[in-house]
Amino acid sequence: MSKKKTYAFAEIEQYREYLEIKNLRGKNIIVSGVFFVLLILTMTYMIIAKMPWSTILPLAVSFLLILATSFIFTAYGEEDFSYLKISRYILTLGMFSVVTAMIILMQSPSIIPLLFVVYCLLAIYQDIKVMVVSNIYFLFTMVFIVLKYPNLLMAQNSASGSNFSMTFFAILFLIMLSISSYIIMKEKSFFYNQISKSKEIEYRNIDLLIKLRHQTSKQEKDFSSYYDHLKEFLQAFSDKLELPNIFEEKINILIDLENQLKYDEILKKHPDFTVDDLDRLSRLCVSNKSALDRIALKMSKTKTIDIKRREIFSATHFKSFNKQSDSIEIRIIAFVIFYVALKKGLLGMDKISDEEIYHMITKTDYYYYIDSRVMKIYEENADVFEAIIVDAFGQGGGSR
Amino acid sequence: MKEFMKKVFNTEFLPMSEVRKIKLWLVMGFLSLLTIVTIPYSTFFDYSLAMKIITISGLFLLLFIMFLLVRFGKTLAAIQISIIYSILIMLYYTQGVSSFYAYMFFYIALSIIIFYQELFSYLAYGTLVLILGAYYTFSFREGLVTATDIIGSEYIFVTVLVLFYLVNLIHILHNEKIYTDLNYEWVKMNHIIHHYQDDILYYLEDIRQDAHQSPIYENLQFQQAAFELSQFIAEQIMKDGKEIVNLMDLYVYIHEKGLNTIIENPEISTAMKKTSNLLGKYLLNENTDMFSMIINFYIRFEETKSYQKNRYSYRVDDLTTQRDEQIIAFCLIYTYLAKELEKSTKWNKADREDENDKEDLLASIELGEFFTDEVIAFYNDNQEMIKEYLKQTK
Repeated sequence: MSKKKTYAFAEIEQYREYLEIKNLRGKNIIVSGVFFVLLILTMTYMIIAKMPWSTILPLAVSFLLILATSFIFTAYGEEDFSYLKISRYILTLGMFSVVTAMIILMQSPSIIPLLFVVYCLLAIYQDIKVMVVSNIYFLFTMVFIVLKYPNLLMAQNSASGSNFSMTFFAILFLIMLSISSYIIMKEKSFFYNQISKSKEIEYRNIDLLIKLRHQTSKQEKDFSSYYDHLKEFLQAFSDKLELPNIFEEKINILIDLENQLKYDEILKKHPDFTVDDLDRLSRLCVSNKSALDRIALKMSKTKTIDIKRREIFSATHFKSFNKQSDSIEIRIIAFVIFYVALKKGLLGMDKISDEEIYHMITKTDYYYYIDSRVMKIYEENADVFEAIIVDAFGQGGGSR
Repeated sequence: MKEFMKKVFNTEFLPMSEVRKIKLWLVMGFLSLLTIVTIPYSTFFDYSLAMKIITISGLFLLLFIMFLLVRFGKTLAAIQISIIYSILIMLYYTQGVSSFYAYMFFYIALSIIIFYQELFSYLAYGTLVLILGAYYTFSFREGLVTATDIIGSEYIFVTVLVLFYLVNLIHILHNEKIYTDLNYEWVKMNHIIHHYQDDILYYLEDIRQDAHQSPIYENLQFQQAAFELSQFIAEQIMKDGKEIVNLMDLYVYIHEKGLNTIIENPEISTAMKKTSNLLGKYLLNENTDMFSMIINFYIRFEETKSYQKNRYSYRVDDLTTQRDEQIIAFCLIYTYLAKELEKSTKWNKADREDENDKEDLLASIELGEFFTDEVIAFYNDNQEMIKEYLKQTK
């Protein structure tokens, strides 16, 4: 493995971002909710413990200020997503600051574990920047406590509660928490990647399907029957409601668009309509590659989908040539067949250049779909691979 | 080690089974470090020397067992042992010394359990750690509470531990919810894509037959390249390429005879049937994982529109906000589906009449994914009429 790999489909980045933001709102609510519970618990304790109001009030104000700021930013997040992102940093810094203030104000070791709670609470964001800020703040606070308040951890009957041990185990704990947060964050990325990738693959598969349907002359050629039925039905529907037929003119425009009449001519026939109207209506045509055609195609394939619960967690959906259940021989064969098929090329598909094949396999996520030993041999012996291909298919790859 | 670290940094590309293994190795590394640190720390503990030696040896033995389990692919068993291990080391510290750093082991044990993100493990072992933590706080309060501490600090210790437990429980539940939803969507997408690729395979076959060409797996140049390459790779990895040649023969043979014929043939050995079954997902003449991966590779190079916000939306209201146009769109789609049904039933004439009469075209489709509530209400109110006018496909 050399450098970090990219995704084969560049488009998935935007959808990943969308998924991230979609879930961020819920995470903000959870974090703010728990922080609010912490406020209630802290205030209840301070009042029961009869702490001075000069201590209670500033702390309560700090809690409320952070919650209010987070609330406002989350609300603005409806309009602009960047506010949602800022909100998580406000909560991160705010929560650590409040807990540090509590430790200083109450001077009790019992408050220190609140730092752990805050760390884990913020881990819900599953965000690398939040994790880095949390780590720095956590470490800073621990070192600050040990240096500034060395007696804070000197319990009544502490056998060996040295500050060194405390710092040492806190760092060990932080390492465990960081590793845990990091891997959980990556697991989330895996799902986001798979969903985004599937969306893009679906989009492009529909494109390909429409293209092949056209290529094999299997697509519908006569659209008139669609509109004949449509006209009849909508007339009957209007009659049933005893209302004038408001659909007719638009159907006539659709027929004109279907017959590829120029916009000028259509607008002459229907002066109440604009170019924007025609653009919008053209998306409703049944003809090749229209937006409506894509929806209809998807609906026709969605019809028979029935997913069982046990299937949801099955690993078989992850397609790769690096399946744990396969022996190394089968993994080799899988990769070789894939590689040679690409080199030979599929009849009906556009040819992919050798450089493009090499780049996709070695520099994108395809890299991880192949056994690492096989991949290493491919990378180190690309010229041998090429020679074998040339020997079989001649210069320039497969005949098509 | 270098390879492992690179895997850790690229976990987002790996399937769950691989990630689970990585997690286990990381926990084992962490526990090994803790165990090594425990050796000097044991001098502070109130145990006899024999007890200390037995415990430390026992911990190392458990580490070795975990290692063996991982080597033999028993990841789940090793995970359970690693959790029990973390609880044992926690008990060793907390029963050996009363101090704040020993108390931290309750948090360390909980964070190890959380790491695996498995709800039932967390509920079982996490709750146990929580109960032990509360018991420890009240039993050994002198080791935790300072002389000038605030009142009721032992209760704060317990409350914060409970909060930590609950926050992580929320985290696990939240993840479960998100991952279940995402997984469902992912699996559903895979099913749909599989259907698209059924048609793509059909069209490609059509193109091939029109061109009067033999299937790719029958092509001698293809076979030559595949045999030579697989032999070359096998020789690099296993120093012997003979076995792979036999497997490649079997692979081509499956294409000729069909996987089911081989599986059902009583004269073929079980081992060969098992291998054939494993190779089945890589066949080229069916809509297999192999075909899907080849097509998905190809489409990367097909021309496509640049990314726009609604790229993956298949909702009619994203095409037009006008209700009359949404109704027109609905009717056109309905007609499209009726024609599709007509075409598919042509292949199965026996069921044709039955299908046409009984099947509700939209019965198994989640209409909310494509249409607004108003359009769905329009359909529900006018079903019979729609069927009467739009299902007649001639």
